Amino acid sequence: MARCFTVRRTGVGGATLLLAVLLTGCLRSADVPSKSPGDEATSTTITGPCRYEIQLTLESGDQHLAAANVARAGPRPVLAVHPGRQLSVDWEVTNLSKDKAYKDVTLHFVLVAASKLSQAEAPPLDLVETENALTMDFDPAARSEGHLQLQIPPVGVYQVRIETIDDAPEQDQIVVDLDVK
Amino acid sequence: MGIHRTSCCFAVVAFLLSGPQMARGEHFTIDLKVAAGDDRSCSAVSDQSPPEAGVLPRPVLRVARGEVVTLQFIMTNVYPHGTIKGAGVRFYVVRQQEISQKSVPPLDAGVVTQGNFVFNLKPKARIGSRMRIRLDEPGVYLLRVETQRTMSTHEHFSAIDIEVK
Repeated sequence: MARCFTVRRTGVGGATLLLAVLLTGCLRSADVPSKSPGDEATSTTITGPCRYEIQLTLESGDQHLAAANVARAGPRPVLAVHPGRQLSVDWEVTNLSKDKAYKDVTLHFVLVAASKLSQAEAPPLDLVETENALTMDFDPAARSEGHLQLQIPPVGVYQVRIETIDDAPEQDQIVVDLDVK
Repeated sequence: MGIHRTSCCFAVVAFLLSGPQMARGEHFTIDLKVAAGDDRSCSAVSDQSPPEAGVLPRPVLRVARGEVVTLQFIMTNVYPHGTIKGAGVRFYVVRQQEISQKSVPPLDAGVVTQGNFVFNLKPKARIGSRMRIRLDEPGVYLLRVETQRTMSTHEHFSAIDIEVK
């Protein structure tokens, strides 16, 4: 089985709570808890067997970054971009199992302001620029994909993260940094 | 009047508690909101296409050039009969000619932001999104979120016009 960067939950994160954050966000960022269920879920990063293959591609002008959640050495990938331009984001999540289905999986994508490059912890979601979540059942080998065209936010450092959230103790994710300057 | 946490969350709780019966036989509920500053917001619910622009009047949010605008939508599949493979949800903000325009502008020009998701749509599935955008050019924009490939005679959408001065 392929090995990936995964996260082990230490909190009470889960699809229901994550959606509760979305549902109660109410457009007022100040109302969103500074520490979200998703944040708690990312407190411990490990390398372990992955259930999903996650591919993430960012592109702005001639700048391009492609990353996957397969295990690899080295620092977190960074894409340097300019504010106000367009950022294309493409992601794919595929169930690697040929015979096992996963129910009630939330796919969570977030582009959120961070304090620094390679920041270990997930930033609070009150700093979110873009957040998407969807729920689905993953049949064996099932795939989901997303394509986004976003405005690049103001100068700063941002985390771009896509992750799976369900009842399993370990979740698949990929995180890259966006350096806007 | 702004979106106050209490009233907004009350509305969300009511939305959650109401469930499919509010859908009146529809396949999707869509709760679309847009806000700017502390005092301006509007919301829209699910409409159907065709006709392309639906039948419900579109709310209009007026904002200043360069102002941060926050978008949020929550969609719920209330169709109870099985999973639809390869369904989609698309959202976009695109420049249009006028308020309440009856045609949907093509997405090959004037797009501020857009996104689409492809996934297996299960009963009670939810799709949520929120984002902040900045509209630097004066004009009229269409914010729209819509279903795709739901194997129905129609698709569902929700839309709001944004006027930038």
